[in-house]
Amino acid sequence: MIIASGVFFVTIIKTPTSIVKQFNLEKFLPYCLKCSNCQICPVTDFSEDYTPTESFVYDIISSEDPLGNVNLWKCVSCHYCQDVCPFGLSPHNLFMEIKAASYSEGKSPSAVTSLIKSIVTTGRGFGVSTRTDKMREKLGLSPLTSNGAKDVLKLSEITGATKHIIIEKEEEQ
Amino acid sequence: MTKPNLLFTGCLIEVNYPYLEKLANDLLPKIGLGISDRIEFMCCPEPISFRGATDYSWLVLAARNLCLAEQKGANIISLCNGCENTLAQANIMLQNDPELLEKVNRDLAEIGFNYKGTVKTRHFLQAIYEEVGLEKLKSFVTRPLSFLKGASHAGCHLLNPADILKFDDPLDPVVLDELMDALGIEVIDYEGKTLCCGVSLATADDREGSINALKTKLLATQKYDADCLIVGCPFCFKQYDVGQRLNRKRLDEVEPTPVYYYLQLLGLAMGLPFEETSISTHKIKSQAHMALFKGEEA
Repeated sequence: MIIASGVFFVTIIKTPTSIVKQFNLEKFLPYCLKCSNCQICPVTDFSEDYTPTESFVYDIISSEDPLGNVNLWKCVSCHYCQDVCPFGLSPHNLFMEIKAASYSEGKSPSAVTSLIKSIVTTGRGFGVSTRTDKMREKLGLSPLTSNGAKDVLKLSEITGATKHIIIEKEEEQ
Repeated sequence: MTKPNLLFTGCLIEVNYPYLEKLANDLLPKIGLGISDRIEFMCCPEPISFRGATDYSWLVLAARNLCLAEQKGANIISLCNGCENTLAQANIMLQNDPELLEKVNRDLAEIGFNYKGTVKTRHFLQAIYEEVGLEKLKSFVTRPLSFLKGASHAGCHLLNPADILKFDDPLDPVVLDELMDALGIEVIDYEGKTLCCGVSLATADDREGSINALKTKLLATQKYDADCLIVGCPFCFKQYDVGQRLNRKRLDEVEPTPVYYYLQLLGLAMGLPFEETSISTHKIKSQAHMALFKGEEA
């Protein structure tokens, strides 16, 4: 475990203490040997400056502003990093926790906030347009309703999903 | 008694690609997967950004959808990788953790719902593979699509996490290939099968990454002489089809490659008229394929 401790030491130096505490990294980081197996991440192939090893250990965790780091939201939750980690670590799970904190502090990309707003207020990730209605009618499919949207909004409210969203009154009805 | 199946179309299909919903309703019962009358689910919800931002709400909203199926005594067949990923993960979490289930049920009680954990969810490719089986599937094929050289793209969220989705080996997926082979399609094995389509990178403000993902995939399939890409997820479909159209100028090294959703090809192989597949509405069309789909000489 000497190497592991070394990584722990190096990483802690680079990682703001508040972040280490907030995400329980003391239990997590010592085991990351930076073996680079998680380079299997498909996003590394096409997104500049993104690799789970770099993003995970340095870029996101040790960033001055981990919650505002744009690389955080590039994780597509494919779970490949988790599949191949020899220690069963899951960068993905950690990213999810940091994503949640990033969202709570209003640091997520605007498209993320829009998606969440759409889901909690309409029940769907995409808006139903007259084009949708026409296509469905032509195919003999029943029209889409928003009958479930009220329940979705209620559950979103009691579980905290709407905390950081401004909901206009007319959308509540 | 076998439980009835409810179709979980997901937002993207019911809003933008309803013809895929229609195809599923028409075709799945013909091969032995009965589908009950439509009920209206709401967003699964989305497993990447929505879940990342608000994990617990994600779980409760997914549980609400599972309840709707449970109330009908039904199982779920989903048409989208993202939906299946959410529903399968949420279902396992709830089924394996009585305390968590109790907590979620306390919230669901606010809308008069309660989840017991009796629903089984499957992606339609999984249902076809496991319940219909390759041999029976082949017996429905009246018009083998042997002129297609198809590259499969199962998609990340159907493959992972493998212990929960239980669909295929995420590092070396072959199930979709076998399902294509059953329709007579020549299956092209290629390096890059497990690359992500990249559609969600745009949500992370990384349009460049998203375009690179598209380009990397298409160059990979092109290198192995595939003449089409075959998917089972509407998001992967949208990225590859609409993405090629939107980013044509950035894809000058890439041959325009048509993309087909598996059910469209299943329909054609079963003798469904070309018009009913809505392939003519795709952004990237192959005239040669369309002539063959219509039964004309190429």
